Amino acid sequence: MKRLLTIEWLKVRNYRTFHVYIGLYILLILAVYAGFDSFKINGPIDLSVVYKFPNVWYYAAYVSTWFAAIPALLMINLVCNEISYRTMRQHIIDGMSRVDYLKGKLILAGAISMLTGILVLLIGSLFGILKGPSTSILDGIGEISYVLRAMWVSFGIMTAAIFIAIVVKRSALSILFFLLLYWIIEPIIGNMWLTDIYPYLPFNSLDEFITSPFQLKSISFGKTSTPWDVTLAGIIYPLLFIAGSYHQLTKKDL
Amino acid sequence: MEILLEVKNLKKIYGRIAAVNDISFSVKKGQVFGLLGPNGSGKTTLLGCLTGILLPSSGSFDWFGGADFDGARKRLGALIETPNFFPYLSAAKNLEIIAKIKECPENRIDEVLKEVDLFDRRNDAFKTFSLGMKQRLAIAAALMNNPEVLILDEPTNGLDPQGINEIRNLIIKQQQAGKTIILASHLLNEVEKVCTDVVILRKGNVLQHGRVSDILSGKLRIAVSADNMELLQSKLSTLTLVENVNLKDGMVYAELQDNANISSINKSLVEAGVDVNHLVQVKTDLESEFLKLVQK
Repeated sequence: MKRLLTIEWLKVRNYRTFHVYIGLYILLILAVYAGFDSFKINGPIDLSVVYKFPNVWYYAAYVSTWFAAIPALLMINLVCNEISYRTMRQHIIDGMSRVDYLKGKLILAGAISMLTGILVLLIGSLFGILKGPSTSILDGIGEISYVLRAMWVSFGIMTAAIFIAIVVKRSALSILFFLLLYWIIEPIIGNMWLTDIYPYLPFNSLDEFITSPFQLKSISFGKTSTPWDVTLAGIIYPLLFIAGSYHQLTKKDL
Repeated sequence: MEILLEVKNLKKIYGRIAAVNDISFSVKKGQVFGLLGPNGSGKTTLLGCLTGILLPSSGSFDWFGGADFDGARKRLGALIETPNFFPYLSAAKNLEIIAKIKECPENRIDEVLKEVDLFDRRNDAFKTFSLGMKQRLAIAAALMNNPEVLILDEPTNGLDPQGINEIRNLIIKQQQAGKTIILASHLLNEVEKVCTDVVILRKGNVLQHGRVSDILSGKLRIAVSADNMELLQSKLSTLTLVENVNLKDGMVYAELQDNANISSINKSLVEAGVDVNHLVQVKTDLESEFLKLVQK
């Protein structure tokens, strides 16, 4: 595992695009979260509680999902690069197993989702301490589960991106497919035409791990509950994307 | 001799076309094994199967007497089609990745870079390299693990004469170091110059398989010229002592039947009224063998 992570790191270490993506991802989450309490919205929500423990991690996690497409596009870029540079083929020729190749990409996705988690934990704690009303960080520490939820959402969306990239192979087309699915086809067309199953579609079921505060009926925290079967769908989809990528990589010519 | 690679009835089918059709052969330690055939004869497809990037439709192959395939590939050094590297990484950093994959020590990086004469350019990005340098870097990558078998697919393709020479010298050096080499090429003289054994392929089928020296030591071949070339060609064609008479580059070539020798040919031609001014025995080169086979 360490060897595979090292290999992935050697590939991206000097790749400027990688650093730009990761830098933008961190900066945008930070910028939006830092100003979230002054967000102008209509509704029953009082955003002044954003920096109050234990809400901090929930809001930080929620903000991170706005930008979940960034690491996903990065994964598409990295996988498609390796297909067009033919380095993926070469590394298989050189003795890497096809399964190890997929593992490497999943480990990298795991590392990026770990970064998401650390970011959510850090900025949540930091803003809670600096800007929040004087409550203890230990109040409602259980809500720290939102750190893990943010990690799973970001990882899950990356598995979808890896799968699309491995199947479609071409960078521009993969990005188009991914963005259409993520922003148009599932949330708009799916919502219009597939109303009954819409909650169970991949991106929505993942999103439901961190319900939007704008859908909350009241400002009291932690009262919404996602139906268990939607949560289950959100757990199953990433596994299906991994299985699909595995099938594509091991049962097809490269 | 120890068998390093055993290919049994290997088949790779694309739709209705068999790119590799029921091929069997074995490669023994120390051989320089040529895969010879025109473009599209299945050489690269065959090597793709043997190196794990293509999945055979049927048949099988064994490396190193049936070793685990992922492990076996780490004992090979292969350059298939084009040099494949990350364009934005330097030569040394690209090789660092290969070292990790093949699990070989990092001090090999400088050694192989020196071996292919790229040490001075080790910190330059791959994308700044010329085609010849890219090809040399690919050979450096293939040599990283000090491989037991070196697989080279058209290693001189697209190179200028100097580049071809550099690559050929590298191959000869490896051969002298006792490496087993599998070399795919459509260039006959390349195979003829460096290979000990050859499989000749056409449209995915094996046309001939054997030692280069055996294929070369076919029938005696002569080159003849005369004052009247047309007369020479027509008379020669009627002789039962020879076959496959053809005119090429102002010289008539023919193959001798087993019972013939050069003096009997000369005598027959003089008797037929042909003034021969040149009659020599020429080597039956692989090219004429190859063309003969491929034309069938």
